[in-house]
Amino acid sequence: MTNPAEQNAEEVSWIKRAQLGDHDAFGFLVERFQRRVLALVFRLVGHRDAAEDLAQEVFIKAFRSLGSYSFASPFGSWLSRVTVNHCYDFLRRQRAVGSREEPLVQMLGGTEIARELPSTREPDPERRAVTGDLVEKLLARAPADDRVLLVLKEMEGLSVEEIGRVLGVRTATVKVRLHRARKRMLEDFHRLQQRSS
Amino acid sequence: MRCKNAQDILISGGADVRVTEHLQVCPVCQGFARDYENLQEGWHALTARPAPEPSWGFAQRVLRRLEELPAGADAEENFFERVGRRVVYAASFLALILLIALALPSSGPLRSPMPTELIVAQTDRLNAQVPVFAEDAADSPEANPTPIDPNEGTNSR
Repeated sequence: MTNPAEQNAEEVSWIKRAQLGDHDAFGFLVERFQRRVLALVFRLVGHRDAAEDLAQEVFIKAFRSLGSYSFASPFGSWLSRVTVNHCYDFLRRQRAVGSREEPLVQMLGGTEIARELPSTREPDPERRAVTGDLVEKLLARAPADDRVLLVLKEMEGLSVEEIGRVLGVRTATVKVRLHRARKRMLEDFHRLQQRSS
Repeated sequence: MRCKNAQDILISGGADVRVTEHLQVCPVCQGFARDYENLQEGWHALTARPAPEPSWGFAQRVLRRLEELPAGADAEENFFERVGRRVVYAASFLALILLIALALPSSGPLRSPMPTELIVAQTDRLNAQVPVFAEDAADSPEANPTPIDPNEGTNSR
């Protein structure tokens, strides 16, 4: 088993070779980061079918822009940035097609999901699963900006500073946008609960 | 504390004594806090779900797609990227110059209109045919009055 320093040296060597156009070296990088990239893509776009194709496109894009990687940040962070940007473009294109403009309750198939949501505060696996489904559906309906921010914060656990670095915006901007995104999500959630009662 | 402030603090993930006190007396914010907790629970549930695993041969497929890319595609893309960036820089520079020119009207191409008094004075001067240039002034009758002949009017002979 390689220690982190060795692993890092190995990674640096692969990156340098890949920057010179070595496909095999890039293959090692793909092997190392494929799970992480696919998981992030899946969370960002929410479609299992599209996720793998998008993850492949992310790696191709990464290879083509590898020359701009200057080792200033860890390769994983740089790759996350490429992933987020690619998925963001995808989500915006999807949004432009206009498949997410249905009213909230109609999109969720009436109020069934909201009705299923138990109102007790006891920890209950079934309740957790239903709430998880509901959040997943609300997330699918959210604008691309909100979705990216919420996934990075609530699911990937990034700090606002890290999100700022990934998205290339100021921390203060991230805070404001995140606040608005959470508020919108909560309003939708509340509206669903009110309809069910 | 107002409901909006309490809700903003709750959304930001924080809560202090004032928020707790407000929650004890405000049923609206109690409902809000409950919804927020439910939502957080939903996030945890969603995060705990396993992400899909890459299918077998994922890396090989990426490499195959890389090899299938037309030769020079990168160079072409980089070229347009470079040219595009230059066009943007040039346009920004021109816009900046234009802005500076507009911001300084006295020295720029768009001067402020000439004051009426000045226009009137200039028109009067033109009408009076006052010479403008020094050379004109030298030739003008005002500058060279006809010398008075001291003998004029006398008959010396």
